[in-house]
Amino acid sequence: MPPRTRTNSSDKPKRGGDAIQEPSAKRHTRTSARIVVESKTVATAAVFATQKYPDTESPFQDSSSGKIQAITPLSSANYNRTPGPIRRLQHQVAAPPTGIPLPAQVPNIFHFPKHAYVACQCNQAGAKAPIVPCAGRCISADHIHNYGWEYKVLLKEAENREFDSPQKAYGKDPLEPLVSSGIVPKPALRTREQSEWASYDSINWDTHEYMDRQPDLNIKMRVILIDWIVELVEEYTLSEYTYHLAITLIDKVLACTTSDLGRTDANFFVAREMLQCLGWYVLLCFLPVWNSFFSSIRSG
Amino acid sequence: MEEVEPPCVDDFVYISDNIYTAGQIRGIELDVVTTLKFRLNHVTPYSFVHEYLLASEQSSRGSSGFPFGPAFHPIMRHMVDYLMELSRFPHEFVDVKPSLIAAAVIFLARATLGIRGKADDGVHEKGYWTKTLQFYTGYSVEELKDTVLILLTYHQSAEEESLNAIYKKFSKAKFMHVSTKTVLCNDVLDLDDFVSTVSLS
Repeated sequence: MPPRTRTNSSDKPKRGGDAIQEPSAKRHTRTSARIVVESKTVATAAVFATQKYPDTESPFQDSSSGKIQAITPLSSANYNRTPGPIRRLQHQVAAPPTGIPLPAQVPNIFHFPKHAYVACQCNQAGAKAPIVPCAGRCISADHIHNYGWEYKVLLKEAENREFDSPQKAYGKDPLEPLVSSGIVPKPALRTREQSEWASYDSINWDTHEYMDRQPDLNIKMRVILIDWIVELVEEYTLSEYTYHLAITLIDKVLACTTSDLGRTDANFFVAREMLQCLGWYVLLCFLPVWNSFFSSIRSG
Repeated sequence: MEEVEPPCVDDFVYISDNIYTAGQIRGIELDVVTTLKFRLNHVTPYSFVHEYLLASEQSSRGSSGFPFGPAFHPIMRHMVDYLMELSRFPHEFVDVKPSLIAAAVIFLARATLGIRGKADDGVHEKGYWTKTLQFYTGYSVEELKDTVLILLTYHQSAEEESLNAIYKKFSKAKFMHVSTKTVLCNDVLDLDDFVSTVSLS
């Protein structure tokens, strides 16, 4: 049982002689994994992580010099999920083409085969070009413009178990016709993405019956945890996106186990009493946060 | 859709009623972050459902079978939210694709509220799934069938469960009492009959 003590007061940054704790001092002690907001604190967590687990490669770490790169936080414009035009279909639904299409210009809606993906330029200046997977669904040019960074996340959707890398799936670069027609950026912009994809694959995402692999947990505890998270979301008026992201991440984290080989970097075993702490942390710390400059606009 | 004020470590300690110390929370943070290798964002069913709702609206606008007017009604929206939150409970859905879960939620919400597509959308009279929805979601009824039936069993037993925080949350007036709506029976949602009678080009 952990000792029931408050935080040690020496953890807080001391502000000389000020009895009143200002919001800036409070902000200084934030936990550090909010990738969307605080580039400085994420870099701090990356430093700690590389010290504790030296074998782990942090994505923010420059491989040659070993220094932590500066991270540009995502702008809130990327979260304006204005979808593309969605219209009721007419009488004929066009059958999806069998190969990669060769459009002379970007059509409004075109249908890709099941495992196609397309890279596009992110509309945020300075950001990397994300990869837009199609996964058999329709992608319009407006989608690409509006979603920008968000479609990078959909990468996981296209990445089924039988589809591990584009080269293995196609035997050649599937984006070549699209690059030559000018709707995707040059291959130089895509190399970083492909290396990130490789590191995605190194994580064991296999979530099938993962509770059997956790020695101290069972399915009933997961239900209790989610039920408790529902109450928290309602009490603190968190958004639904936070709820869904938290539960997805809890599942993914708990599934990162191999057999009973002991603790490595790829294993995540949770004791029974620490499951609630994990729920706390994932729910309240991975929530995406608006850039708070927007809320400071006021007269006076 | 996002929060404004991020919490700090002391907030965690205070909210958890001093059960966990700040050091323990930092330790778990380190473990989570290194295990996920800083991939802190992930695709969820919530990423798809807004697009699917728009497709659902377009496929049944002006149809006579819909009792409430336009399909993007708040009742439809809250019903989809309710089923979405409910769909995170079953452990069978942990390794199901998020877009499939979102499509099944749209299907079950339309079926529960009795929303049907227009006649020229190429569906059976009883059909809650239209050509437009099939195009935009990429799933046909045969692919949706198993997921919908699992979700329906959880929808039927949502009230009798001992852990029914979601049911109580969505039975409030703020959410238009969507969780108290009549749940479908298995024979009402006759998917086999539906699949056999619909032919999509």
